[in-house]
Amino acid sequence: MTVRIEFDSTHCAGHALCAAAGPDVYQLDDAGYCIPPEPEVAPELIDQAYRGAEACPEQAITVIDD
Amino acid sequence: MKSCSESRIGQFPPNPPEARRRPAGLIKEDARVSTPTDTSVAQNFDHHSAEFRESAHETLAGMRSRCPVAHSEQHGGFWALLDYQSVFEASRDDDLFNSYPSVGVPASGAPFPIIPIESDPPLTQKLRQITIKAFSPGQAEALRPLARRMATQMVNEFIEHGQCDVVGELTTPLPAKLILLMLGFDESKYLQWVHWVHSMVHDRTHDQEKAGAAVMEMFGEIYKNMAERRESGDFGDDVFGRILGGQVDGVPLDDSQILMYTVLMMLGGMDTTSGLTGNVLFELAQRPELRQQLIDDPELIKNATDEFLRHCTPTLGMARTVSRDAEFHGCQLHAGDRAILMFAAANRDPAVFEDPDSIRLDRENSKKQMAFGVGMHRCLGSHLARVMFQEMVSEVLERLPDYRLDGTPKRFEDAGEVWAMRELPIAFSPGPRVDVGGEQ
Repeated sequence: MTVRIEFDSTHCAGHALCAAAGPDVYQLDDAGYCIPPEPEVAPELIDQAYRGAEACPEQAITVIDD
Repeated sequence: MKSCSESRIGQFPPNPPEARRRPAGLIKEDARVSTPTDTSVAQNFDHHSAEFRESAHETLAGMRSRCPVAHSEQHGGFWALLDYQSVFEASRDDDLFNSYPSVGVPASGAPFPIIPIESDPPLTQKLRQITIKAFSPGQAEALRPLARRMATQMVNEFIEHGQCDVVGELTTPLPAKLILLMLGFDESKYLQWVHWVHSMVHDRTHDQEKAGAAVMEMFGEIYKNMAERRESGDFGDDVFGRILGGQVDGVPLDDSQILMYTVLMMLGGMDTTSGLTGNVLFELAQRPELRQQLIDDPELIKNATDEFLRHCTPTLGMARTVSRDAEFHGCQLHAGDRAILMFAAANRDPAVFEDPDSIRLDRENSKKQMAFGVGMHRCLGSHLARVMFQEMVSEVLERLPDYRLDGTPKRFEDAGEVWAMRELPIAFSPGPRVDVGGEQ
């Protein structure tokens, strides 16, 4: 299974919940906003990708199952 | 101005079933409104009234099921956004729903906007930058041991007596002292600050003079701290230091901005976290199975926090001002209209949360709760609030596991903005004081 991440930076508000839920997939810049993640997700990180997307209150992250 | 069309009726599931196992007469929040004059209910809806306080969720559910975007004639007229979708959309549309000049209905009456909450993007983000790092998830975690030590110490003060007012003696002082410590203010004066904040929030609609006097005293104290800090020549690296040194586009904040930013730290720190924790301790007093679940598995509280935030939402709503004529969810909004985004009503929208009046720790979508709001203005202190809530509840469940209500709990008279306990008297088996590790 491969998945990819779609990130909508206009909706990121710096809540930092993605990084808390998926620290190896989502990293924050100095101000606390999500740095656009790599669209490709390594198989062992798929779980984190989903958890981070679910944690985003803004629905700014979508994980798409290809 | 008309409320939205009646054709919406039936769009949502019928009134949700009553929560099970609830003792009769303790709370009246089940969604069952059968008044024949629902339109007049909306028109007369007054979130500051005593009737609303006593049946907040019942009222909100009844209005939502009839008309998720309702209009009230009270307080000069305002819209109430009640379902999940409208609250979510309005929260993220800062262009149509402005937070400046006020997020209250009626407006706060403060001489300056309370920032960053009463500002609009792009200013909002720039103002939040000034303190955002102090409230990061990492910082909140770093404060967890301190929050727990404070809780342990406060419980020590009453555990031998077998009774206490857990709101007055734990959930109020802990967040108040912690935010004062973070600001670098004298935390031993916390009662004075709490009095000012409570008066500002809960008296402002009914007793403007009292609220006004409290606000002026609070302003005076903040100005005093401002002057002292500047005289010392060192702003300091605490939260107040960050605000004092704060800049927007290279321009330092002026004194009124520093003042109102600090006021917001007090408002956020002293009212809402205690509100959540008091509401939850009240619910747990009546739901022994739920309490037992949390006692049996102390780690559960972390995942349960979202469900408690959803069900026991302290900040019922925040208001906006409509910036232009627009149609929104079938309603014609006009520039200058006020609208309250009712987070607490959205959090019990049966279209999103099945059986919304029940507290279900295994609910899969509790994380969708909007107790902290959503969008650019989402609560800056949310991570810290979670930590304080978790440590307070854990301390109570560990040391007062058999607590029960002991007398009549009292809510704040005005639930218009914050629906919370003022007093929650409990009794329990007395226990020993314990050693408080580390330094305060």
